[in-house]
Amino acid sequence: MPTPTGDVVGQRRWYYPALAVPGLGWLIVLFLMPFFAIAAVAFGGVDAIFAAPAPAWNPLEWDFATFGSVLRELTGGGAARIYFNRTIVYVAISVSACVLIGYPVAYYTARHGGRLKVLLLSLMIAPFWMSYLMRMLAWVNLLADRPDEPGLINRILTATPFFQEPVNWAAGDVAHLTVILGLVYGYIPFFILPLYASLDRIDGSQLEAARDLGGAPRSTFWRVTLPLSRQGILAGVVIVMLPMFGDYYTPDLMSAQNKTRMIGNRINELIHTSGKSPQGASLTLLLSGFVAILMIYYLVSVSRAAKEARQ
Amino acid sequence: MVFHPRDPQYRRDLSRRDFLLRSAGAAAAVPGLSALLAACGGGTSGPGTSGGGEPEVRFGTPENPVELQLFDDNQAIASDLEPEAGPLVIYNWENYIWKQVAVQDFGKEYGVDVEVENFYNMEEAISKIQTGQVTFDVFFPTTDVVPKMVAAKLAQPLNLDYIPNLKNIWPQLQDPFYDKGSRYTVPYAVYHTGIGWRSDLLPLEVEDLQAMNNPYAVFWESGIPGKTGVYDVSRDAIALAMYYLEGPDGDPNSTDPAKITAAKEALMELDSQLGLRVSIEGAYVGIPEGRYALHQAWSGDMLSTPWYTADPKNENGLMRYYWPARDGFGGVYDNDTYAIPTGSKNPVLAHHFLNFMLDNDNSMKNFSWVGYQAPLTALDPEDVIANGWPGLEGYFSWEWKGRWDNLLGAIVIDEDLNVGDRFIGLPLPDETLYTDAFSEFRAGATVDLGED
Repeated sequence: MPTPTGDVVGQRRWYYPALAVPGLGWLIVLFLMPFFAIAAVAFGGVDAIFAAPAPAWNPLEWDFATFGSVLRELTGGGAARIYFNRTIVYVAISVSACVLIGYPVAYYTARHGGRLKVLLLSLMIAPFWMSYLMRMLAWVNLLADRPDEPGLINRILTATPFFQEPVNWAAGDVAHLTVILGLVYGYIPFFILPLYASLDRIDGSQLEAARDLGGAPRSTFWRVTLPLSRQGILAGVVIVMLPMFGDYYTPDLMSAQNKTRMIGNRINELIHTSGKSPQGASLTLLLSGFVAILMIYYLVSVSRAAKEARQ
Repeated sequence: MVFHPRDPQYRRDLSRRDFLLRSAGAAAAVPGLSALLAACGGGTSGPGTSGGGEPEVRFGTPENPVELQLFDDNQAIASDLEPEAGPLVIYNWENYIWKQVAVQDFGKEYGVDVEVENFYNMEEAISKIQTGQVTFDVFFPTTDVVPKMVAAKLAQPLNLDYIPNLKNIWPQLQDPFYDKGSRYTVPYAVYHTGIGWRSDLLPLEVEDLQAMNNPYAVFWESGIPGKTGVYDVSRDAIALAMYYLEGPDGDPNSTDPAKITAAKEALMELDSQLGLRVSIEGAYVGIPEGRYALHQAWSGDMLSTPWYTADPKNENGLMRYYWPARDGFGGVYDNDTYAIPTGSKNPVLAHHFLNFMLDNDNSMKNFSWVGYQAPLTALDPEDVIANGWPGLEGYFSWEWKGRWDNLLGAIVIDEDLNVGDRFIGLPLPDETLYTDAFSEFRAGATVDLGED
């Protein structure tokens, strides 16, 4: 049996790692370099005339004073802390709602969609044909509360005996609900799709085995289906949670009130305020750090699941 | 923070990539500038000298107008040159110029192509001009940015020989305080900041506000929860509260921390009372759509509202606008400008464009669509509303009444410049007083970011 020559072995040694080059290039150009640029802005200054960001590209010249003050505000009781706490609450409620609404939809499509699977998936993706902005503006109209021309939601509500007048969705504490509604509606398809893929991959024989062993449908779901779809849930949660943390246009469009602003609104405000870009970039870094912690948990969980699967 | 009527809130935001590009560009452009501007923190200064010298940012005030510096290495074009072949590239806010006039009409007259590029906010625009990624021939800076552009040599001096139509402009703005002698700019649109509302949702007439002790109190006394808004612009929102607290003595350029703090607290009180909304599009889109009953309003925004009603025939007559300064209650007016960036590839053609746009007919045609007017001497609001404009029949008076009649007060007249206050550019430490107060109002909490 012929053995590979040294040259062939050498080529094979580099063949598979070389496949990672495009991804690595992508990572460097679209993640590491931008991230470094944000750090350069956060640890840099502003120019004298326009008060525009003057990034410090040399790490030896980085000044951490601004970053420190933003960190103190975040850990103390200042504005950043208020925005951060509100964002966590909004995201937690919105992600929970995505799970509660999205799981049955994904489950039904995967397990009972039958020949309609493709159609159902297409319908789920259909909202993506429109931009996020337009979808939010559509909701603004659906929630309209003008007495002479209420939106569809208020027409339905006032047709019930519970609402005599259209609800003003931007007034009072209901504005929080309006923003959460926007977040859930805007991102839920991102949750459903990976979960659907996960549920669809579950081997039917495992479910049959559970039933053969006497499992009722409910216990089969709780003891087999749900654990097997855990990675899909986690993936969906991560996918919707990341953009929610950085969202700022949903509160702007759905409410425009101070009490519904999220951390993304604060970052947006800072980078558009003369001389505040380093503060905005610092807050971006801190938010990225927080999100990275969640990502690490996800990656550890995936890695552990993969190990268990191999065993 | 640079403020502007055409600064749509949901478009003001840059993607992360844009942000990084800007940052990188600024880094490339800024080192040469950082040595400038020893006077930047020094506020206003008197008439300047020509012929060079150290660049400095000169913020003028109506009481202390400034001549912007001229530099030996940044000279105006010579007279009597032939216009270039184009294409002419205009860099403007979105929907802030009518392409029918700027592209079709001008292009046809000069036999050139005209391209309109848009920016979403002044910071983005300046960054792009600084980096030189793209060159533009005509730019629309706010007046607070003009002296900075001059100091950074981003704008070229104008040769007024090419712009005889400057004579069509109100005399005060032919020789404005921010740029005496129109060395670098000519005026584009003029507007004031007043109060806009829908008379069906908030059943008040202009006369009702005129009868109040202080019309600005309408926000605190008659605002409707969830349907009342102020602009998402620190200086504008705080000015509203200053006029509410101090009446005509309110000074929108005050650098007194106590006054700014009091204004902030008045806004916070209004917020806790109503759930105040803070937006950019609340006046020109929100009021006609019925999402807002009452909103702080730029006059040009209100003149744009008829385009956004669902049922123009029945709703356009419901729009109301009032600028309290006309009755001695104080108020702000402002104007935007045309400038030609130093990197322009078609400077002669750009001069011709400025002259073309300052022509009465072209300017009125642009006004009919944009809603923001040029300060034309020939513009008589009542006559235009009653009789239209020659050659533009039907543009200002549609077949149903109420499109413009009820908004007559939103057309700025030259006397307004004598009764209103004017925002002036502030050095960064003073501007920070406003931006921090506004941040605290928006957060409902203290902001302590350790400004140096």
